[in-house]
Amino acid sequence: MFFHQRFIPGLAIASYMIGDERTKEVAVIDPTRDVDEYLRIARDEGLRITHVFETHVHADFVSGSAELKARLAEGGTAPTVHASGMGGKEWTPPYADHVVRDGDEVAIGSVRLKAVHTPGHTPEHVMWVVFDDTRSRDVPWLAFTGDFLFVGDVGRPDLLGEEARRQLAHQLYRSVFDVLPPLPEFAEVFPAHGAGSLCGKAIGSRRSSTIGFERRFNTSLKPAAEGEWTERLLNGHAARAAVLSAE
Amino acid sequence: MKKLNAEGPPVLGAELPGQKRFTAKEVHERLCEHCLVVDVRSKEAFAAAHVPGSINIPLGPSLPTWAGWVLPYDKKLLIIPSQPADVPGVVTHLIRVGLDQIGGYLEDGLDAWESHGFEIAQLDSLSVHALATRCAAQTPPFVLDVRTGSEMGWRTSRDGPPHPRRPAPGARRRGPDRGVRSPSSAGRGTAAPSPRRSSKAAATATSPTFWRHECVESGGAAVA
Repeated sequence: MFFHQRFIPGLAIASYMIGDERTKEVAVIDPTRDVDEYLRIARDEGLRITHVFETHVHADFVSGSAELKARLAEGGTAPTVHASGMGGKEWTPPYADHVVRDGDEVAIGSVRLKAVHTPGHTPEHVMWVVFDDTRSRDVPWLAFTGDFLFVGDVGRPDLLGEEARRQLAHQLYRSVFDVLPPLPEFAEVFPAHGAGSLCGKAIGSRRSSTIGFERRFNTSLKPAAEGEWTERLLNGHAARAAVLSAE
Repeated sequence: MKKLNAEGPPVLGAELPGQKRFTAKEVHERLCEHCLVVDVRSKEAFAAAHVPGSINIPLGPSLPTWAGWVLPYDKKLLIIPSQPADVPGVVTHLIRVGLDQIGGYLEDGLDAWESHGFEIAQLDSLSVHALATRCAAQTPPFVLDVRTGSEMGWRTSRDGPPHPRRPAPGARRRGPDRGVRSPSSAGRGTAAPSPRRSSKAAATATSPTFWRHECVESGGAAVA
């Protein structure tokens, strides 16, 4: 198992590389557009980047998936880009090779990633739940939670405008209280952002967590009636920068 | 940005854009309505002298956040760095937020610009002490604070200012220590370093609240 977290201060972006050292395959999760570092790490580790996964259509930085795909294609083998198709055509990136539905699975050697639809921050958002098949085929080990679940917070649902935010908040409520519960306490949480990002309002300074820790200390995961939960969530987000808007 | 991602951003390739060096004369010739000079030097250096009409976003981790917020996506950007070695870092910040239209950079910095005799602009900035003195004067200035609530140190902008917007006539405050800061003391790269940038931020941000702060130090009249 190969695992690497790349953190970019300022925009507070966390992207990841995960792969199987035996088959020499590695995937990049939510790459940024400056892709040289992923290429360098893969080269240094003797790995081939065969897959790129996206959790959602980002609002605060440009996806590096198309860039990475083009750069690798120059070298002979383009990776397969997996991106959610659950937001409809409008929110499905044209460079996606695999338009992902809920429950889709992708194996990279003995590492298996399963798409779990977690709308709320955006309609198409998926978290990628990871299984290490050498340990267990049934019990997940970690989750790339994207902008659905952060350390100490959940992703803001108000970036697509006033009309969409109530519906997204409702979807987020369902994602938090219906979709997340089956994950075991010990499953590790690797989000797409750390503290400083405009995508949440209370993101902790640690760059990973566990489901159990978040259930205990993340106030957005505390059971509450939907109305009360939504009001608390929508209050007090930082200014929605123009950069984050849908336009 | 979301739209750019949904439509598929252009592929840049192995070479970073914006590596073209321009002399001061070339930058001067290229200044037009279709381009914008982005000055990434420190806010102090910018205040002392800058190209008229340029926007200052000091190089640091917050650069891409501010750049994505205030810079136009349809204009060619010309960079004024402290030193040429800063340019790749600046460009990397900019392409992460989709600002790919980078023409190049001023190779010899602002000194070359000045030595050519091209026009420069300056910003008047006050230390907090100088501001306090002005506030204590017979005709204190009107202070407009354009920071957001979180920059002011409130928990959220909805919490409101630390004191009422319009104090009762004759009300006294402890001084401008919390409410008023000059751009030079605001720090952390979060305060708008130029008037132009702050006015743009005011135009595009949807929720910052703009509060008035009155100078009432030493019994001076409130400026409401």
